[in-house]
Parts: sequence; structure tokens; C-alpha cells
Amino acid sequence: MIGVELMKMLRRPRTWVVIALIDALPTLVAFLLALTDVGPRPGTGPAFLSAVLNNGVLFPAAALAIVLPLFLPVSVAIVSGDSIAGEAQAGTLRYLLARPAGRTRLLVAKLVTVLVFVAMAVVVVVVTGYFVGTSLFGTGQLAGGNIVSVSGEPLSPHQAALRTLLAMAYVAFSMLGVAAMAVFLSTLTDSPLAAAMGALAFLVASSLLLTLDAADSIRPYLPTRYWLAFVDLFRQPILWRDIVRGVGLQSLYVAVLLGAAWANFSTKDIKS
Amino acid sequence: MTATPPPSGRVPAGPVTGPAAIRTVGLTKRYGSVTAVDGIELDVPPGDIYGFLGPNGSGKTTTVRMLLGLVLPTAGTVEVLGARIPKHARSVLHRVGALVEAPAAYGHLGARANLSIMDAAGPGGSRRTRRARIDQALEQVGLAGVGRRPVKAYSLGMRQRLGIAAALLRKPDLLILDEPTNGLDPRGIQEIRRLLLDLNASAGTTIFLSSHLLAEVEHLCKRVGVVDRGRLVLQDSLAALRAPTGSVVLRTPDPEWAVGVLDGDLRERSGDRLVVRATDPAELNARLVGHGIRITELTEQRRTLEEVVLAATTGSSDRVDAAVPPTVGPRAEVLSTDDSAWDRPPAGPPVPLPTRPARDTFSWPAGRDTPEPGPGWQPSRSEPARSEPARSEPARPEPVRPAPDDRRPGQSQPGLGSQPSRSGSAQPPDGRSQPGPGWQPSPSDSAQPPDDAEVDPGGSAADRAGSDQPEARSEESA
Repeated sequence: MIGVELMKMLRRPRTWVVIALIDALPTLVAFLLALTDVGPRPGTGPAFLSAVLNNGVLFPAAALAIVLPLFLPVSVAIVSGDSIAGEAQAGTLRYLLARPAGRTRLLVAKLVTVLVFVAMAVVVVVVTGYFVGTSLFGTGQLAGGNIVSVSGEPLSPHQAALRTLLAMAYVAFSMLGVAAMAVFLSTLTDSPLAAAMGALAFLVASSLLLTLDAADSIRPYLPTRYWLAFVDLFRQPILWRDIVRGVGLQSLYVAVLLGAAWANFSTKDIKS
Repeated sequence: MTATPPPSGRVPAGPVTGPAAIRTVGLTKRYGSVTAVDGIELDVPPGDIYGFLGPNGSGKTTTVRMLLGLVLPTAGTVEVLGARIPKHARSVLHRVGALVEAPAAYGHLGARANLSIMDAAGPGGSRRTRRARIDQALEQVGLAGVGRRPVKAYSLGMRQRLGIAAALLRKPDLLILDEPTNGLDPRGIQEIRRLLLDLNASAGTTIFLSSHLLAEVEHLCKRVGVVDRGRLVLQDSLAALRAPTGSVVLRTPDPEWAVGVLDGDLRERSGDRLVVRATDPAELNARLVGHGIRITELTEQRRTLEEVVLAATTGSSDRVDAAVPPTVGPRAEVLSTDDSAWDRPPAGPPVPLPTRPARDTFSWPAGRDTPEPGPGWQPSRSEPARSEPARSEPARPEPVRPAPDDRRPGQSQPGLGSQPSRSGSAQPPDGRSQPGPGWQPSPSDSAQPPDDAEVDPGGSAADRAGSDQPEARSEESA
């Protein structure tokens, strides 16, 4: 079942278009930076971008920071929102369940597919970021190959690679909250668009509340609160506090939303 | 028939015994305050072809979905091939082929990829035999030459054929088909009908056919269940439902004489058409001819399935009439004035006999005693008039079946037994009772099932992607 769902995702042209688009934005940013050599002043703009001009090895992390706030969640919401509602809209859901695929199995297969999609998107962004970054900005030979961490201490290339891998895992994990929300909504409605938009509304609301001082008391519980904590992975030493909190918070959201999705889907009357 | 059988074992070909293919007990589904399905007790023996009839919105599709575990019943139980649904759905549903409402497929993929995905999505579809089974199913439904064209480019009929192919993929023991001939042209309908009959005869496949196309059910099914407003109002064999009514319909150019001869046996007269109480049409014919009465047409009266169903059901739920002012009268009467042919029982509580045999449910009104056919009495279906003089009489104008719709609102008596006495089975098609809104008019009179090939001899059958379709062929060779 999981294999079938993966094949279905991989054979869909839309999957690859979305990944290409996600990948296009950081690449465009890299070219603009390389052409103009004008980086954002330190402390402004997406994380790492000012450091990237000196060393392209940091560009994968910068690329993640570029796609994380909007592009990645949008694509995850589209793919996850389509998971059940898309089958319902196409009418194939009733045939899958009468086959019988099993409701829980189908839901699990859809979740795994979403996970694989997130992983693919992140990997593609990082790999492209690495090649684009190192070819446009060099590997920082002037600094002896070391990378200047966010906190100013130098990082060896080995450390930088390890931390980039950790950052990929953290960013992918951060997306699971959105994915769980979209899958849950996808079991509620027969419209994939409604499910994707609902999940995005959830994110926009969270991002908006983060900027509001009056929402200070609920801020630690907002799903996007710790998204950018992956920057802390590039500190020396790593500042684990927000990362751990982020993982815990995301786990909570994922558990609750997937539980709700499962409870709803396994007892739902399929009328599509 | 070459594929390996599913692990749980197949019912062998030929006479089949064992647990019922479908059995429901008190099956009920409520959506809030609306009761969509109300205590349905289906009983489909293995090897049967069962027609599940009812007006639009009567609960057919909800019932079908409960059989497949898609909709969960509010009360009651479902057993399919001896296993409880939805609890044991996984162990048994792979032996069931289903077409629920419209067919569905992934539009960007071709027919084979779609069938392959569906086959891989559940148990019971062996990977080794998959390709062969797909080829065979496509061959069976006449799509062998579709090639790799994506399904989104298919016509409605081709999609329907693909849906049926998906249902046939694992050589199911039970086929649950909801409107299987939707979107097919007459030739396609006949092909599918032959395919289903063949599967039933050769592999013993039980077929549960949900439809509102009466002709389709009449041509295929051995047993029928009629559902109306969520209740099963009758369930019986087609033969029993269409049993003779004990009357004979005849046409004569000498109606006055005939009335005189028949006297007390006359039940109804309209113009030259007489309905006579008689158990033996041959005897009646001899009697009339003996009196020198010429007879144009003489037929034993049988209820058509359409009449049976229209009598058993109340109306289409997709028909929404304006609220009736209380002074006008009951709803059923108001409806019958604007559509006189749509006879229905008077408004009131639904027919309180969910599963009793039809002859009990729809017996004649007390005033008209119905002679039961005696044992061994073999009625002929349609008896041609044997009175040669009447036919060869040249002086008289040929009585060209005038067939006026002689049913006027004043004449019609809304009541359960009133319809069958009006139209005999040999009545010309334009004179038979018109189906009400929501019912597809059956394209044929039941007494004379037309050959579909004659209806459409050229049979465009554009959706058949066999060798007669150059487009598909060129694509395959490409």
C-alpha cells in the first residue's frame, strides 16, 4: 500500500513541478547575490545570507531559511491536503476502500508519502543550495576552509556538514505539523483545495500571533514558534533549548492532529 | 479463468451452495433525523442475479455503500460472502468486484496503470498474475486496444467499461454493480449484459445489480428487491412478480358482441379493448370465435416489472413539489392531476410489508377476485390471436392498434391494484403506463424484449476500443 501511494506521488507531474518551484527561489537569490555582491546587512533578511557571500558552504542552510517560512509549508499543505480529499474528489477513494485498502493503512500510506515528499523537497533544496553556493561563492578558502558560525566561532567543514544534516532533519520535522493539519482537514472535506488552504490559514494565524505582543502568553504554543530555531544548530556550541522545545511542540501537534485525522477517517461515511 | 484463485477459495462453477452472498438484517442508516435506509433485509443467495430497484434517492446507493463498508450502518448487520462488514471487510471484500455510482480513475494514467494501482492497493491480487488479469479484464469489457492513452481522454462509455474491468479484475465471487450500463450505447449495454450473464453462468458469479433502469433488471435478473423511501417494499423472484393476473386483454372490431357474449366476465372496457376475467386464454378465444366474434389481439395479462415497481413505490425523492394548500386535498391526488399516468398509492404511511412476497403486498382489491392459477397451468406469455377470419377480412378497415392513452385522471383509481388491469403486456409501447419523473423509461415493452442490436444496428460503440478503433490501434503500435 505504501509502495502504491509512493508510486502514485512520484508519477504525478505535480510533485516534480512543486519541488522545482521550491528549488527555484533560493537559486534565484544566489544568482542575484552573486551578480550584485550586495548581501543583506547582518541581522536583517533571511538567516545566513550575509555570511554566504564569504563562504558558499553555508548556502544550503541559507536556502532552507529562504524556503522555510512560506514555500515549503505551502507545498506541504498542497500535497497533504490532497491526500484523502483528492482521492475523494476523484472518486477513487471509494474504490480504494472497497478494494479493500483498509482505512488505517491508507491513512498511514498517505502520511508516509507526505513524509517522503517533505524529505525529497528538503534534500533537493540543500543539494542544489550546496552546488549553487559553492560554485557561486566559493568554499571560503580565505578563512582556511572554516566557516564562521552564527555566534562567531569557527566551524570546521565537517562540523558544518553535520549541522546542515541536522538542520535538514529539523526543518523536515517542523513541516510535519503543517502536514498533520492538512491531512486532518483532508479527512474532513472532499475538497483538496479547502484542506490545503485551511492548513495555510492555520500557519498564517500562528505567524501573525507571533508578532503580536498581546499574544505573548500563548506564543510558546504556536506551531511556527520554533521553526527558525534550526539557526541555533549553527551556533558554537549548539544552542539546544529551542530546538528541543520545537521538536516537542511539533510532536504534540502531530500526535493530536493525526489522532484526530485517524479518528475521523476510520469512522467516516464515505459518500464521495 | 487462468489466474490463481484468491487465497480464501473460490466458489466453484456451477450450482453454488453455502452462505448467502449478501444478507442484511435490519440494516438502517440515519443521517441526523433523516432515515436513508430503514430496516432493509436483503437476502441474495449465491449464484443469483439480483436486481435492486428503487426511485432516485430511495436509499439504493447508501445500501450499496454499506455492503462495501464505505458507509457504516446506524443499526443492523451486513454479511457479504459469509463475513461481517465492516469488521471482516479485509478478509472478504477482495472477492467482491464493485462499481459504485460512477466509475473513477486517475486521469493522468492509462487504463493498465489504473487497474494495476487498484489491484496493488489491497489483498488478494497476486502480483505475478496481475498483468495477465489486467489484459483479460480489458479484453472482457472491450478495451483491449486502449494502449497508454490517459483516462482523462476517455469517453463516458470507455470510463464505464474501465470501471467494470476493475470490478472483474480478481474474478470476484460477487459483483456489486451500481448502474453498470450508465453512459453506454445500446450495443455496449448489450455487450455488458451478455458479459454478466456469461460470468454468472460460467463462473457462478453472484451479481447484485442496483439500478433504476427497469428494462436492464428485467432482462438480467432472476430476483428483484424494490426499495422505496429507505424500505424494502418487496423482494421476490421476477417470475413470481410477473405472474399472470388472471385476466386476458383482447381487442376486437366487434366489441359490442363480445361484451354480450362475455357478460359477467368483463372487467373493463375502453373502446375496442376489453379486459376479461379468464384463466385460459385459449378457451376464451375459442368461445369468442365460436360466436363469430373476430379477434385482433388476445393476450394473457401480466404485470410488467414497471407496473410492479410503480405500484410498490411512492415517488421520486428528486421531485420536489410546492407545498399543497390543505383545501386541495391529499398530496397524491394533487400530483396525479398534473401527471395522470404516474399512479401512486394514496398518501399515507409507507407500505407496511417490507419483505413479504409481492402477491401478498399487491393483491387485487377485494372487489376483483383474482383467480389463482391452478397447478400445472402453463400460461403462455403472449398469445397471438388465432381467429383467422378476423385477420383476413378485407372489407373491414385494419384495426391499427389505436392505443390512445385512455387513462384520464378521472378514470384512474389511485390504489395498489388498479394499474395492472389497464395495460396488458402486449399493449403497444406508446400505450403503456408512463413512468413518473425520476424513472428512466424502460426502452422496451416487457412482453417483447427488443434486440438491442436492432435498435442500433450501426452501433456506433465509439467507446469500444477494440480492433474497430483505428485511433487506439495506432497509439498502441506507436
